[in-house]
Amino acid sequence: MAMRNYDEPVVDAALRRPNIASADIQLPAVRDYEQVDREIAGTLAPSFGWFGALGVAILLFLWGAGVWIYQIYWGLGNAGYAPPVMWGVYIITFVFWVGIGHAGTLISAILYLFRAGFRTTIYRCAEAMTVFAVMTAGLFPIIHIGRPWKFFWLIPYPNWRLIWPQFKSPLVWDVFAILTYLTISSTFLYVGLIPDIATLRDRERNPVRKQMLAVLSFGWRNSDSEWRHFTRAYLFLAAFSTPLVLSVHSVVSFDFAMALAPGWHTTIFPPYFVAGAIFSGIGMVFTIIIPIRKFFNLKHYVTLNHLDAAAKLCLFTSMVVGCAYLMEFWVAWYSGNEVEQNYFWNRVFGQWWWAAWIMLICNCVLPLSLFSQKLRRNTVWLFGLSLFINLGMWFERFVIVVPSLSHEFEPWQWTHYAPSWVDISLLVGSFGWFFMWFLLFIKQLPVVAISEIKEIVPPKMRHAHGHHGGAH
Amino acid sequence: MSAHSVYVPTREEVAQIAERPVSGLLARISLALGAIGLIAFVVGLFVSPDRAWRALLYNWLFFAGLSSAGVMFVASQRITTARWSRSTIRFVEGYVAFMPIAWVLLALMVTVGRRHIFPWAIEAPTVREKAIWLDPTFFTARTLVTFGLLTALQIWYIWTSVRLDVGILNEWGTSWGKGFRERMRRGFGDERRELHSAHSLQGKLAVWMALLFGYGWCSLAFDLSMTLDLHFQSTLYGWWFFMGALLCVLTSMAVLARWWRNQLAIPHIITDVNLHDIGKLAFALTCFWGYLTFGQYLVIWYGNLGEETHFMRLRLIGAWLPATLVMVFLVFVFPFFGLMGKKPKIWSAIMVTISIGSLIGMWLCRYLEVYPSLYGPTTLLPFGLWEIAVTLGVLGLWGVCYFAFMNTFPRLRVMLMTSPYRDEVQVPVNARTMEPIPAHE
Repeated sequence: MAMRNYDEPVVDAALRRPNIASADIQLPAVRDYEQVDREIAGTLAPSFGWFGALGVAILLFLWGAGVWIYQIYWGLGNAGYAPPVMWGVYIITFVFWVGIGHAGTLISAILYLFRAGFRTTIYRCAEAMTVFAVMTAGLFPIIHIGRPWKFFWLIPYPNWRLIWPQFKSPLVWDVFAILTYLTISSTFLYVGLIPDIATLRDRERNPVRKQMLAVLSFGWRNSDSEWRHFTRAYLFLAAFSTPLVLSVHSVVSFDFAMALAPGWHTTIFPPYFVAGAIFSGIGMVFTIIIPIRKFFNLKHYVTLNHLDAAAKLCLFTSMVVGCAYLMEFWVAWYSGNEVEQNYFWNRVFGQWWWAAWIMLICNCVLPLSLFSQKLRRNTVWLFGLSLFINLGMWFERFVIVVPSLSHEFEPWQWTHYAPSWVDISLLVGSFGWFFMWFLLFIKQLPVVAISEIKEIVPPKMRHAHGHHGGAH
Repeated sequence: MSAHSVYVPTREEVAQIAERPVSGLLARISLALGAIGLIAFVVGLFVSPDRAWRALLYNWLFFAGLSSAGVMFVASQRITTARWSRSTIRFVEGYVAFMPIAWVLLALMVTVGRRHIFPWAIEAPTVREKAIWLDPTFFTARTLVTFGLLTALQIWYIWTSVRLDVGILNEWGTSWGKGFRERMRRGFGDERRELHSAHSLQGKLAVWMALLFGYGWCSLAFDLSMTLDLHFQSTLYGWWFFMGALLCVLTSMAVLARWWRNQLAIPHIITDVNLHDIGKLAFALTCFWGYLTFGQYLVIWYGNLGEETHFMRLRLIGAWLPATLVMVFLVFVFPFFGLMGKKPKIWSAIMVTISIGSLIGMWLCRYLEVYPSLYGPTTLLPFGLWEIAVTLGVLGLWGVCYFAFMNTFPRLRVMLMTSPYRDEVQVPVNARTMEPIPAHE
């Protein structure tokens, strides 16, 4: 192979070649390792905008926390429950945040196993989002039970009262599924961060902070042996995480599918919940990553090609979700079961028509715009659409939870439900809680994976003729 | 899939490989099986028409599902701009050849054989909605139009793929296919332009195909399989059905890739890494199929509603139980534990054994979808001469179609393996200018 000039980046020549090894993940404006370190580490410097956003998030969180204390003091009656609708905004929001947490593992683990290049620059953001979303989701069952100090009853520890959780209950399955998911996704995030923490350590001048980063990076020295173990561990964790993507939201779906309420007991729920979760998670990834790439000047890392590919995945999951809606409607009609038919009619054209149509328009109609390549590459449109997807997916859970309970078998039980200001406050507070953690994260640790970006940036040729190999 | 360096053969080398003579034994065996099956089926129409038609139905579900899912898998490679499968994907493109035959068989089943197959064709359903949905005219038109559109779209897609190779190679192939090849060469221009145009067109076709495949097979699975039991309905049934067909594609691909590798003597082109990739996908789909199966079963078991559980219970009692257990073992248990790790996915003896086992298991699954609903509880498995003969016949017919395709068109994707422009389409490009769209603002 002909040798190039030593210090000249090989990127241009590589791009002009017809056969580019990593053609689908090219970053034409990223030229060398130093640029990667400089620009991504540069995003960690706090800014006024960041302080402002963090301030808003903390205020929302404090508002939510204050209202929760209010609810604990005055009782669960302050939530908008209207028997038999005893699952309301809290369960809806729980499912919503668990769903958001799904895309992180899909992008970081499954797309890693498939070697899908477009994940490289967005997966860190998605992984962090996963951990904080699951942390947020975990709050809501605790809020929902009204007496949060009794939450430990769900944990299957041996105790002197010989009372054990009801293992036949999907609610207990939830505890296991979500704790497992939180453990694995946190581990996955942390393991992936180790080389990047080491990069930050090497650039750090403050000795205390440098020492902290050294501890957090486990003394990473960038050796061949460490990389070998790292890649093995990462691959193993990716393979281990993959079934969790399916299991967690399937188990959440069992909370509903196992019950015999109209609209709930249906076999498509497990994969449909998983697809919906991935869809909503990708929506939230867009909501987060598009401002980040703009305000952190990362447009040449998180390129339009990456957003384009992620938008295709978003479109695909939207269509899977749409197909599931149709299957539900069709089987309800075909079965001839009047209760199911009435339920679905009531859902779409009756009492809950407005919620159902928000869901259908946001989740099935608006995403069709992503058939247009121009709109897939239009960040303003993608950001706006992502907000509608978040809205639509919250309403999807509303449509699943509330209409079934408010329109069960006995007509005398039929009722209405409206969230109270307490419900809404806790929902808003959950966004504050989520974004508070996320905003803190992105100023402490790199939001784009430095080490993986370096893998696709052509190295400089370090040595003279006869010494092959670049800097690694 | 695997990011690895690959041996890049020259065009002359690939062209020469694609023309190598291969053993005609399997093609002849297929022809013989097809003939035997046809004779047996015709005899069966007079001796035991119900069994003959019903055996044809479940075999149709298996082989038509396999063929259609095969082309869908090819299209999925375009949607994801996959490169790992370039050396092996033509072996799956050949599945399309069975699609027109499958349409004819479907037409026969839903017209001539309807009363022998579908209980509701004799006695109309009492539930009003079911009577509307299963109205004979509506049913026949729906199934034929759905499968017909899918067939047309899939043939069109494969045509655009094969045309690229026929256009750059010398005349080769069966004499009866010469007309097709000449038509493909008509208007074939500059290689780079053709590659970009085909890529662009395939992108659109693949998306439409995915839509039609998903909705179409849901409808077909409901109509041709689920409605055999008029009291059962499952929203997951369609997805579960076509994911099983996609699993068959990967396991059959694992077998065929090895067969063609040996026949064409190309271990340097279809490497162990390629076989490993196919094995990984087969393993992943095995897990996914197991997940769907268990998910469907668990919801029904836990719900414990008679209108649902009877479908599962029937398959878990009497003569059906051993068949169900064998099916679960072959499609899930055996591949799941057998394919863990890298070596079993590469070692041909293990991978081929597991793959063939999985295919047999999925064929058994189709049998269990159809027969218990039609024959009810029984202590004697209705499986005998007619089922065996019709199965061998449809297998033979499938083989005849497949080998006819592979002997008529280039056996490798020559252009996508050798063109200097093949990776230009990995990033979003303007199909008109053939230049990449700017990666960022």
